Amino acid sequence: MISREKPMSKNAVLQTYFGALLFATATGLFVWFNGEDGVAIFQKSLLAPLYLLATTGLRHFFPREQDHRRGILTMLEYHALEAAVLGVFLLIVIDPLPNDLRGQILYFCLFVIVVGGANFALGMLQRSRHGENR
Amino acid sequence: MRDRIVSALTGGISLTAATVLLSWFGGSDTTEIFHHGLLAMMYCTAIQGLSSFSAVALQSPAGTALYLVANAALFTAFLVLAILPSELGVGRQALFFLCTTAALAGVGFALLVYVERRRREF
Repeated sequence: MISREKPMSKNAVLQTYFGALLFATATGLFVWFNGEDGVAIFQKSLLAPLYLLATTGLRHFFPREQDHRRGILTMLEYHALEAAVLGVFLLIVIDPLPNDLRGQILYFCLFVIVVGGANFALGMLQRSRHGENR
Repeated sequence: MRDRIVSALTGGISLTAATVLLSWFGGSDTTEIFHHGLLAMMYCTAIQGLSSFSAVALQSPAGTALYLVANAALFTAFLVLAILPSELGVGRQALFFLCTTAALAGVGFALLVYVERRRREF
C-alpha cells in the first residue's frame, strides 16, 4: 500500500525495485522457455514493470482504505479494471491465440468477466465477513 | 478526484487513439493494432502508479533523480513496445531504450534544477 504522507524507507524502495526486476526476469525466462526470439523476450520483460505500475495506478483511484466502504458498482468497476490489466499482461506475454483478432478480443472479454467476477465475489464475501466481525 | 478521473480518462483515450492510428499507418496487422491500443491504456494506468510515488520521491535529490529515471524508463518502454518497429533487432532496441531513458532523465533533471534555481532567485 502506498502512503502519500509517510516517506518510504530505503528498504521499501529497494524491495520495490528488486520485486519489479525479479518479475521482469521471470517474465523474460517464461518467454525464453516458450522459444520466442530476443526481441520478444526484451519487449515482454519490459511489460512486467509496466503491469506492476498499472496495478499500483489503479489503486490510486480506488484506495485500499476505502475497500469496505465502496459501493457495489464501484467495487465491480475496480475488479473489472484489475482483471483487464491482468488480461492485457497475459494476452501480450502468453499470446494464446496468435494473429486472430476475434479470438483475442473474445479471450480478453471472457477473462475480464470470469476473473473480475470471481474477484468481485471474493471481495463481497470478505466484506460480509468484515461486517459480521464488527 | 472526479476532475482527476476525467483528465486521466481523456488522456488515456487520446493516447490510445493516437497509438492505434500510428500503428495502423505503420502497417501493423489488426492483432498488433489491438495489442498496441491495450498497451497504451496500460501505460496510462502505469503513469498514475508512478505518480503515487512522486510525493515521497521528490523530497531528496537522489529520490528525484530515481523518480525521473523511472518516469523516463516507463515512457521509453511504451515507445519500444508500441511504436518502435520490431524489425530493429534486440541490440538496437536495448540501445534505444538505454539512451532515450538516460537522455530524457537528464533533460528532466536539468530542467528541474533550472526551475529550482529560478525559484530561489525570485
